Amino acid sequence: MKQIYYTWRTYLNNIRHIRIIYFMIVIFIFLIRYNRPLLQYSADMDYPVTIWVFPFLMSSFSFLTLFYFLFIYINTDLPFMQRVQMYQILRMGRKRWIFGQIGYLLLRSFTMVLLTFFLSVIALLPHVELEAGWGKLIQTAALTGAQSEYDFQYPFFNEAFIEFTPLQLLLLTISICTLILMLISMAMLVLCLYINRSVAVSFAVGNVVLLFMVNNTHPRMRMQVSKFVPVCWAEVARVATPAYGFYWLPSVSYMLTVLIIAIIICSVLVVRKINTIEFNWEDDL
Amino acid sequence: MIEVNNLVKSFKDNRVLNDVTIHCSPGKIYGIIGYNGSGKTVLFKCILGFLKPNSGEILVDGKRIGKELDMLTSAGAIIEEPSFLKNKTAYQNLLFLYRLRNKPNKNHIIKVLETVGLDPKLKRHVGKFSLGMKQRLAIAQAIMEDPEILILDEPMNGLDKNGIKQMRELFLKMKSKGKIILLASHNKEDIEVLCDEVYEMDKGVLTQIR
Repeated sequence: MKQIYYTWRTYLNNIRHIRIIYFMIVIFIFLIRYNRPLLQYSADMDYPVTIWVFPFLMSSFSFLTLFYFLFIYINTDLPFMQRVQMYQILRMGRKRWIFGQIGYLLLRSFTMVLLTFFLSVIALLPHVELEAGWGKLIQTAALTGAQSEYDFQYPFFNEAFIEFTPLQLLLLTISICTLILMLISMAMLVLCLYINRSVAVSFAVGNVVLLFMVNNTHPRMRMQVSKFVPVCWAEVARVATPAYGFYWLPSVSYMLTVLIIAIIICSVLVVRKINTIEFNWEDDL
Repeated sequence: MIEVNNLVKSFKDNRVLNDVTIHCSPGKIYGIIGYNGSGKTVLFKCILGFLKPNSGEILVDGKRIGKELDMLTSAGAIIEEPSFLKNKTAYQNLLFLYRLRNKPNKNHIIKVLETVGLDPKLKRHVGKFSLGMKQRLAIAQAIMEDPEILILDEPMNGLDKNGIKQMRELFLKMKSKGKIILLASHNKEDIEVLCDEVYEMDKGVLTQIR
């Protein structure tokens, strides 16, 4: 119970940090920009948009890049060596303290994804309708030339409408994005503990740059490359959609398995290291 | 009982603690004086388990820090400048820390805050506290679980005359209850008034001077 209390309190104490507020502001500003063509289309068709655009939004290369960079910025508090932690670790001990921080990272990753989803809906207001189905507007957009005509900032895939229900795809995207963010956080934590923060940030930024590589790989090779680039799996909405006759992403089960195993490996490395590290406290952020 | 035997701690080529030995018994206050950078804080961090010594050992009640004991979690401590959750009140900060190991006891937190001279009903966030108030809060978090060992690095920093008098009385009271108190201070008067044994740390070498 103490462990759960500590994890939950750590989350509550930190989730209103100014960097998370910056994240929300920047994301919201870009969402307004990204939704503008869709809202114009909605106005012209005189038909509202459903709330399910989030999975497709995450398939936008430029939005995803921004999302990851902002998340890396939030992660610059790793490896939690701020002086304020001193009194906590003294009470929790090394292992229980790091379990609390890992739990917090998972909750933070989930929150960032959930916030982005909610903001994507808010940015569509007031042209939004609550409907269990995909809604006529985005389905029509996916089947006609409206996407290029209105210069949509993120794509809609007709195959996704057939393969998934809206709720299924939303939950799948939220789950995979949460796990990707968690993996980025854990990989950064491992590198912070074993090497230093600069290497951790460079590694995370390097991974985001790999998105560009996947986007520019020949379609025939793209799936093979994307198997090794978890950051591109946030585009899970395109999993059923071939590009030039070739699928873009590996299977959903492959993504989930690899993400979970990688997070477990990182957690083991962190827990092993925490037993031997020295705590040199730094100023609070 | 704390036994520090032949402790050596280096950061790269810089030897910060050089064969330090000190034995501390319950019911006594041990004072350590020395210039900034002489190694006092590093010694305290080693005892608490934040830093790993290169050689030597630290035993607390016969248990070795870093082996049988992960960290000295049973100690109350103030190391370096006090730091708390800035957007919480003093009461909220203490309650959070207290609940990490104990069942919530609001009356106890209120009593501890009053003991160190802070108003438990104060709604001001810690981020807006003066250094003296933060120091009082740091002392409160160190003593609130009634630990057997207190490790206090410059506990009187930022306190006014009245505060210093209050804290001296508090530490003497804790000593009379059989606590072990390790105290680093620049203030000679604190050391004179409070300490049973006095040591000087100079370039990592600890020498008993009283």
